[in-house]
This record gives sequence, C-alpha cells and structure tokens, in this order.
Amino acid sequence: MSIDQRLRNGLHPADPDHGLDTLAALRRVEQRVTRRTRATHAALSALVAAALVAVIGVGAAFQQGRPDTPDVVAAEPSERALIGTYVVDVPDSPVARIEGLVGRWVISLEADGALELRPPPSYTGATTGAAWRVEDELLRTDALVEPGCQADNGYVGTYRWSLTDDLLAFSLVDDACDVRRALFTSSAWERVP
Amino acid sequence: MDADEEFRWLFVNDYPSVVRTTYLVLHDHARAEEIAQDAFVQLLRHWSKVHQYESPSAWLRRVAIRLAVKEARRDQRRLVLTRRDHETPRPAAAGGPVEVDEELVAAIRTLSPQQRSVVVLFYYEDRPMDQIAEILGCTPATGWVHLHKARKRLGALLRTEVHTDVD
Repeated sequence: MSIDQRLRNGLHPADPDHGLDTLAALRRVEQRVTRRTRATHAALSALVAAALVAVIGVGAAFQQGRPDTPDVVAAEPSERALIGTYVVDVPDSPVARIEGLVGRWVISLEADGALELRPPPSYTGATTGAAWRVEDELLRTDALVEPGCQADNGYVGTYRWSLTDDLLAFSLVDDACDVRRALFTSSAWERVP
Repeated sequence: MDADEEFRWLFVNDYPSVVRTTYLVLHDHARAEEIAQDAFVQLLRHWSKVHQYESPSAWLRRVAIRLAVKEARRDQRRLVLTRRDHETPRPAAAGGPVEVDEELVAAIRTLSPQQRSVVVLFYYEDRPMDQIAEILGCTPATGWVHLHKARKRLGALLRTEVHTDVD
C-alpha cells in the first residue's frame, strides 16, 4: 500500500465517538459563552468606575501641584530587552544566493517566544512556527528549520547576542545550518519602531 | 429551525470530527477536546454573523485548526528550546482513541507541527492546498514543500512506498 493510500485510510478513528460526551461538551460551551458575556458586562462596568476614579484622582493631584511620576522602575530580564521588531539586509553570498536569502528581512522576537519572519520575495521556504529563547548571553532558535535546516542537520542554533543601542548582533556559538548562520551573522539587526 | 437549534445541531454533528482533527495535530485527547470547545465558544460568540455564512462548519474548522496549530507550535518551542534531544518523541497520552493504524499515527507524531498539520488537513480534512496555506499562514508552495517532506519522512519511517499521486 502506498503512503498516500495509508494516510487516506488510516487517519479515521476506529471509534468515531471514542467516549466523547458531546452533549456535556455542548453544555460546557454554552455555559462558557454565558459566563463570558456576564463577565464582559461586569468588566465594562468596572472599567467605567475605574475611569471615573482616575479622572477624580488626576484632578486632585493636579490641584495639589504634585508631579505624577512613577516611583519604581522594573528591571528587565535579558530576554525582555530583545523583544521587538528588527530589519536586516542579508548581503549577497553563495549560500544566501542559492537559498534566496539576499535582501531585507523583517524579524520580530515576540514576547511569547515566537520568532516571526518576513522574508524578501526571493525566499520561498517556510517562515512559520519558529521560536527563540534567551539564556543569559545565548539565544537559541529553531528558525528556518524547513526547508533550510533539516532536523538531522542543525535543528537548533545557538548564538551569542549583544545589543548596542538599536543594533542587535549575533556571533556563532553552535549551528550546523548554513542558511540560519547567514541570516543571524551576516549583518547586525536594526531595531525598528 | 431557529439559530440556537441550528448551533446545537452543528455542534452535535461536527464536534467528534473537530476533536479528531485537533487530536491528530496535538496527539493529546484532553487538550484536543479543550481546543475544539474553544473553537465552538468562538463560533457561538460570533454565531449571529457566522450562521449566515454558506458554511459555518468551514469557519469553525479553520478556527479549531488554527488554535491546534498554535498550541502545537507552543509545544514545539517548549520542547525544542529546553532540551537538545528534541528528536525523541513524547510517549502517547494515556486514554487516547484506538487507532485504525497505530503505527501511522505514531509516525505522524514525529513530524514537525507544520508538517503534521498539512498532513491532517490534506488527508483527513481533504482540503485543497490553497485552503491549507490560508489556514497555516503560508504560501501554497510552502504547503506543498511541507507535504512532500512529511510524505518522504513517513515513507521512510513506515518503510512504505512513496508515490507521487499528490504532486
């Protein structure tokens, strides 16, 4: 049997319901929507009340001539310092040319660990599902795993990062993937608003 | 049939297969049910608008699959970035359904979330590639690349002949 036939036949369950209590699930869904509607109304009421309190408070502070400055500035862990959107222009090189990397990339390091890539039009590989994580001065990522870096050839790359003003630069620590190395180390990434 | 009855009818009709789709992406039955219910919650919240669509079921499935893919990617981040032996698949969650082809489903678990999602959408949901690409937020060309690699990997794992009838 071919893999296609096997996939077409084999993904359907032996028991379609598999102990599912569909009616109980329906009740849960309806209850959740009802609760959410109530919570939204309550939150709106609370928001209006909070806005009124804030307006009154600001007015009182203004009358007393007190400056409204925060007392505490929270420290940012290193990972938070890198969160943002960057552009990088990947220059021409044999690897970059073959893989279609040459040109401007827009890269977002998201707070939830996602690494969003917007490649130049010449790049046709997958850009979704990438992630990043920082431990001290090291950044690990699985960006460009497919088709650039296959699982058996550099699934995860590790780079040392440094952030100076708005320029984020990476130096190679460990990455068997040529394509990712080109993206991370050929030029510094410039933070954009 | 009023709008509420229509929603309940759709729920009873579609819930098992939506759970199955999310299960094939996540391989965790309890979370698959949670994700499916999250999708139905969204459907119910937008029901006044969505029930006028030609296929509310298609809208629901898109939401469910997107949620499942997002969850699978989050899993991948947790796994891949916290340990180096990422190639070792997790054991199957207890209490899962009895599979027609256990070996095939186990092999699918070893695929990346993107490849797994394309396989499920293409072979189980029977969707055309342009829809799959739209759901996954990639180009159809990228979708075909995922499918090609997934079939190749599954063929190798299962020692099964890989034909080219989908190319």
